[in-house]
Amino acid sequence: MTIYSFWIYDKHCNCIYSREYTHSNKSAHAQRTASVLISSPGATVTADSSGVEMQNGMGAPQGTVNKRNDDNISKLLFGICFSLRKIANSITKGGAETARDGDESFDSNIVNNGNRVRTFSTLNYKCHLYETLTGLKMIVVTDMQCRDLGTELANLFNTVYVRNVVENCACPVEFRPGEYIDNTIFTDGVDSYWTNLVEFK
Amino acid sequence: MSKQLKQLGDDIWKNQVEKINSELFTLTYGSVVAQLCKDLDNNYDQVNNELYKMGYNIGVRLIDEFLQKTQLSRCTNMHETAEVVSKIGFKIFLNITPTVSHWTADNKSFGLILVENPLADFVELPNTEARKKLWYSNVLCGVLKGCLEMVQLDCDVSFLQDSLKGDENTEIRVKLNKILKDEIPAGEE
Repeated sequence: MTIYSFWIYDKHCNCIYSREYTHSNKSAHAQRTASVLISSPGATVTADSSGVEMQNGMGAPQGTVNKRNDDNISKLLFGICFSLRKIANSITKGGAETARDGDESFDSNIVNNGNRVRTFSTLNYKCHLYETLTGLKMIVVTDMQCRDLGTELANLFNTVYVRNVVENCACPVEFRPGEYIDNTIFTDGVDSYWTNLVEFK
Repeated sequence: MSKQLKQLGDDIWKNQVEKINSELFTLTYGSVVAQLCKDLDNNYDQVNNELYKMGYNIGVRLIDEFLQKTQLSRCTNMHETAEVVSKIGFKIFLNITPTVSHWTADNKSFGLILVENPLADFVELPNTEARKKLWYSNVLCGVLKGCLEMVQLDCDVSFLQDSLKGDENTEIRVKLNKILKDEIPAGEE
């Protein structure tokens, strides 16, 4: 089992963090999957690419940080999740009529309350989604045998994100276009969180 | 429901919240307000605005901590929101539980009556313009505004009365303007 990449989008639909992991001893299958995800013209992920390289120490993962926030893969990934959520909501819309008379009720298609997409998979990979009430979306891409990592994403938000972004005065919580989460403590926290899972290989 | 919320608020306050000395807190806030009055030449409208802005910036971060600690899901209506704000929000961050009251007929606007206000302990406003114009605890309005806006509830939040000014109660008014829609990516319609 493998974790390929991890993405965070803010409520303005901008990708504020992207992290790709390159796995050195990939199986042929994983290699194929990964190359599907990371192949786009002019952007190859190799050890000598211009990305922020992690030290190839004991267990430190290789890959890039915040190198692909604005490219097509990122946008498509966001788009598919966005659309899936919309579909999921419109499917359940009929059942959500619980408004009391004269009471302005919140549950409607405006507020995402009724339904949620947790994961979806294709032939080669699986995406796990998690969204907070404040509109932050976190997506992790793994191989398709992986179990549902929704609770892990929630945990990651509760520990690493809240601790290192929200409670970090030096780090903004409203990101302007082109602004990313670039603090190394956060990156290290995310890395150690994922690498400590058995799913990371 | 209301009882469960109270229980949850109590539990979180007891077990999950870092606490500081309340006098230190009160005095620190007091000196912030005093310094603002000095810096802005006792222009109390500006001081109110500045406090509100500070609160707003606190609120947009505080909401994430709130969600992390409470693990609550979205409220279904404004009544529930009011209960959560009072029994959990104020409880876990200030250890007070304001009374929710004065609902308007359209269920969009309510008052929070602060029986005690830790920000205003030991505070007396001088009997000058300050007493008429300054909303001493205006930072609270900003915090509420920021928090609610982040969960897509666009509200007006302001003080209606303050016992520091000689009013009977200290009351914050919250009025729902609209529910904000999810933003959609640029170029999509």
